[in-house]
Amino acid sequence: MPRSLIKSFFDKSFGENGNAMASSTVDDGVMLLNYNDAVIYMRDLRLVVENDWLNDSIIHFYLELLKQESTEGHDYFMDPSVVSFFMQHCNDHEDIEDFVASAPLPKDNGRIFIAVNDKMSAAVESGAIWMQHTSRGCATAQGTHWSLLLMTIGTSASADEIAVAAYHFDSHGECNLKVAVEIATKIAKYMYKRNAKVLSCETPQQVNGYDCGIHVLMAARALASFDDIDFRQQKLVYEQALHKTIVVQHGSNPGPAMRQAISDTITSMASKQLS
Amino acid sequence: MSDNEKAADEGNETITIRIRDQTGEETFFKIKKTTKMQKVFETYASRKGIQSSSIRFMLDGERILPDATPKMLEMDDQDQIDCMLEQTGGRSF
Repeated sequence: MPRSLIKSFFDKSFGENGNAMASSTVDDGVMLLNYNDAVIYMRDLRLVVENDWLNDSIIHFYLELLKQESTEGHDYFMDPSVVSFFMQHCNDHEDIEDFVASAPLPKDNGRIFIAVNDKMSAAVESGAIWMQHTSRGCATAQGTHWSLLLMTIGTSASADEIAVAAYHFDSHGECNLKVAVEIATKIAKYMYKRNAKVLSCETPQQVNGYDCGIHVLMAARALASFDDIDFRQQKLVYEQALHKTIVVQHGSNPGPAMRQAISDTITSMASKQLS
Repeated sequence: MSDNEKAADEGNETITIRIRDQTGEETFFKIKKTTKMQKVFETYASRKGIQSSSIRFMLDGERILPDATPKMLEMDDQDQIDCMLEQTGGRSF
């Protein structure tokens, strides 16, 4: 697709001044970008630009970017769909064995970044599957809240055993703590044959009803760019890093700047890829 | 059989794949090994009455890209694809 066509899509969809136009939904199914295994459609980009709730496509895409930037190779970023799959579809021994064998997770000394959604719980309510998303009334999505779970896989003080720790960062109280514990417990149990204690960390809070996904991505970036990683990192160190990169740099409402940055990245990558 | 005929034969080979949704319900598709998965996704979505951009497909816990074919994915007859629904979040007060 030529660049001019992309530009016309953007102008038509978001207007010259970036305002969304109602007529643009016809372009929602246009595929803009294919980055590793992250696929971004026009509809996904609209969520970013229009201050809407972020979906797993945007989250996965951004985590893929962080993965490419992480040079040390000890940070692992899980696709939210893969986490859901693990939580909801891997129930019998055979499923779990297959998953453990193929999952690209650290054997030791590594960190796992997981965007937690409240609907990832293994206890799927019946009838909640093809639920209508009310905020835009346009799609079939499930869930209401994102938070960040960071699991660290290190060696214990005696250096002969794997130690698993988990930290939970929630921009809205402790909304997702229960499901975060469920995920951390299942991963620790089947991947590492360990128990995981989940520490609820002090986290900058969102100031609106739509930016939890943005907070997750900012927190992931802040923690991923951490130099000099000690896998027995203290909770306080993570909390300070988050405060420094989110609150000190962006104030209490980091949403607009972060949404702009994500939208710019997608637009520029899409133009390059499709031209 | 010449190599060309063999290649053509492989291309025409059909398999049945099963798509399992989050409720465990299965939908069957009979497709050629060279059919792009995007076509399967779109058909599945329209049967379910949803947008194909709002569902994700996985094979053994890994994402399937729209351009992939059963041949590229080394899929066999009766193999199962898992369909995951789009997830969203914002947390309204």
